[in-house]
Amino acid sequence: MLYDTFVHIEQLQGVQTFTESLFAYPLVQGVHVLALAFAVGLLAVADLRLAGVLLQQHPERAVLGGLRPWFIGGFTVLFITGVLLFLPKATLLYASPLFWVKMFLILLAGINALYFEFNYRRARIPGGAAAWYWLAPRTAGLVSLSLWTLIVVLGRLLAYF
Amino acid sequence: MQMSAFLNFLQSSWLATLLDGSRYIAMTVQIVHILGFTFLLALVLAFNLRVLRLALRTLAVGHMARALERPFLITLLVAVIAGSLLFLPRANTYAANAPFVWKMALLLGASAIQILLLRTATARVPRSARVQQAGSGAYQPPVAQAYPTLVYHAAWNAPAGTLNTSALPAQDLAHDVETSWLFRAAALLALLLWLGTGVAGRVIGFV
Repeated sequence: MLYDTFVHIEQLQGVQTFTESLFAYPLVQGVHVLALAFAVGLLAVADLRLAGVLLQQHPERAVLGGLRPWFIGGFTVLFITGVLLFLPKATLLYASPLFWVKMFLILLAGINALYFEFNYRRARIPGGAAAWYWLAPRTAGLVSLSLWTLIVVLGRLLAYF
Repeated sequence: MQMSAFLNFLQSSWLATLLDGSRYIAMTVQIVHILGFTFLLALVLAFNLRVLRLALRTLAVGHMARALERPFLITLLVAVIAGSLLFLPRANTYAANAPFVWKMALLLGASAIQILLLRTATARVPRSARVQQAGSGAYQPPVAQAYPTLVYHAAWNAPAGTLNTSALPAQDLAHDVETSWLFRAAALLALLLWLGTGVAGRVIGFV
């Protein structure tokens, strides 16, 4: 049923026009890769701060808070261009196991981000966060970093498999 | 030695043959290149956006430059080495590719300006900051260990607006590196050159 939906998507008029255009697809791909620097890149800087590796002298809240609007914007662009890149190749990607693994990892990364947003940013448990939650802020940062690195790698490998 | 002869020499070298031999080696080098420039662009974005006062406005430019300089150089090195390994097996093809030549020029310009900006920011920690700490002897750059842990955790958990910034010794914002309009213009130029490098890199495959 999912496969039939993907076949239908590929045959939509808008998607056909998008595929036929010489510039549209490569342009969207280019924007997708550039948005990576804003989204994954700046998130990586924030995660490295959480892990205590980079910019240690600066307060955690300042670094994360300062970068947050930028990487959220980056992820929005990344998501939109990602959907646009998927549409014309829906059936091809359906058959690719790498694509499904990438989607699953994105889901995990999203859950990790939501977990962080609701628990640490709101500072529900002042000072005692590490004691109560099984995932400390430092670990959350490293998990996020590893997931997104893997997602970027898989995205590149999609071109080959 | 002529350019074409040099390129032929590179293309037929043992390293180029080795790199061209396996699909997996090429893939790995490509991935290292992509990860390298993604993190490089991240550091560059973070710093330049700070200088342009578009992001991270509460962070001190001088200390930020000091902290980011080495990671910047390391990621640049990784990206350039990986890029060179990508270039070697197809030296002639790339040299004849216009977007590639543009990318090299933009990369050179962007790196030069960025290094200059970072060096200037780290070197120009104002005298007044040193005078302030004259009582304790020689100027001591803020280090992570000197940052009181109690204040650190309080800073993270403090409700918005109640943060006592005077209790944060590393954030001497009143004596931060002054970012003149020239410095900011250079940061904007560097940013545009970096983004241009990225775009040119993408276009390589399409020409």
